[in-house]
Amino acid sequence: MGRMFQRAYEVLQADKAVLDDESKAVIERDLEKKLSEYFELSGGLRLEIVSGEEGCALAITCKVERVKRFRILP
Amino acid sequence: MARKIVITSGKGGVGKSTMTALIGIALAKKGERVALVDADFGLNNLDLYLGLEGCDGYAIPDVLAGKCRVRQALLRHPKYPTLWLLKGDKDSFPINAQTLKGLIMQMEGEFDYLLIDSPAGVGEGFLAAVSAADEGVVVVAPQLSSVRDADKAIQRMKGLGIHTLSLLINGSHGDLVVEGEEFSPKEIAKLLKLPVLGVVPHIYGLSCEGELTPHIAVRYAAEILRGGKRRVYDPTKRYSGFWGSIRRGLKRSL
Ligand SMILES: Nc1ncnc2c1ncn2[C@@H]1O[C@H](COP(=O)(O)OP(=O)(O)OP(=O)(O)O)[C@@H](O)[C@H]1O
Ligand SMILES: [Mg+2]
Repeated sequence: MGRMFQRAYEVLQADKAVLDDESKAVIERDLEKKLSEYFELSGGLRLEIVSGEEGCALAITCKVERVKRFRILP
Repeated sequence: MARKIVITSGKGGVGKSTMTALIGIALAKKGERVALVDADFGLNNLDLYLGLEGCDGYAIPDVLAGKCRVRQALLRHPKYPTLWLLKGDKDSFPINAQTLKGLIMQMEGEFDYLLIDSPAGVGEGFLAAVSAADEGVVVVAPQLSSVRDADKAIQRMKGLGIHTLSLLINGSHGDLVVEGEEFSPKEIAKLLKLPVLGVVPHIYGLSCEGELTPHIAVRYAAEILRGGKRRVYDPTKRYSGFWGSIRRGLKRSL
C-alpha cells in the first residue's frame, strides 16, 4: 500500500477522531501524572482514540524505564 | 419476502442511480422479480436510465397522498417483464423515514429484490432511504473524496443497524491502478473495511448511451448478490503484462 493509501488512511482516521487536539493534550498530561506514580516514564505519552466497527478504542502508548515500588494497603 | 437493499454513496454523482438500474436489469434478466424505488426526490434519474422517462404514471408522492395504491404506481419495464419502477418525483418532496418504510413494506411480498436508490449526502433523504432497507450497497469511486464520504455514510448506516454492507467500486481505470495512480479495489476495501461486491470500470460513453445494458462487471456483482458464484471483474487485467504495458502506453499517448 503506497503513499496514496497512507494519506487516505490518515484522513479517515482524523475524521473519526472523537477528541480535539487540545482536550487530548489535557488528558495526556493527566494520564502521564497518574501513571508516573507507578512507573518511571521516559518520553512522552500518546493517546489515540479511534472509532471503529464496535465503538471506540483507546490506545495509550508510553515508554517505561521501570516499575516503581509501591505498597498496597490491606 | 423481498430483500430490501439501499444503494448509497455519500458523495453525489458517483453512479448510484446507474448501478441501481444496471443491477436491477441484471437481476431481472435472471428471472428475479425486482422493483427499483427512486428515493431521490427532486433529482430523480432512474426513469431516465431505464429508458422510462416518457412513461406517464403515478409516483411515490401520489401514493402517499392517497391518490393511488402502490400497485398502481409501479411501472413495468417493457423489455424486462419482471423489472418494475416506483418513480420518485421531479420536485423535491419531504419524506420521513417512517413513511418510506411503510410504503416499502407494502411491496415486499411481491418481489425478490427491492433496490432503493438513495439521494446523495447523509441528510434526511439518505436517512429515509436507509431506514427502509435491511442491506446496503455502497457505490464508491476510486477517489479520496468519494472514499471519505462513503466512510461517513457507512458509519451512519451501521449506526442505524444496517450491518450487511458491501462495496461497488465504480469508474475504475485499470491502467491507472496498474501505474499506482488510482486506488486499487483492494485498497478501497481495506480503507472502508467492507467486502467488495463488484468493480465496474469507467465505461467510455456510458452516459451517452440510449439504453443501459449491464457490463459483465455488473452481471458478476448481481450474481454475488443472488448468492451465486463469487466473481469480481478485474479492470487491471488488460493493462498487465507485456501487451498491457503496450495498451497503457497507447492510452497515455492519446
Ligand atoms: N462506470 C461508469 N463509467 C462511465 N460513466 C459512468 C459510470 N457510472 C456512472 N457514470 C455516469 O456518471 C454520471 C452520474 O451517474 P449517476 O446519475 O448514476 O450518479 P448518482 O450517484 O446517482 O448521482 P446523484 O448523486 O446525483 O444521484 C452519469 O452521467 C452516468 O452515466
Ligand atoms: Mg442518482
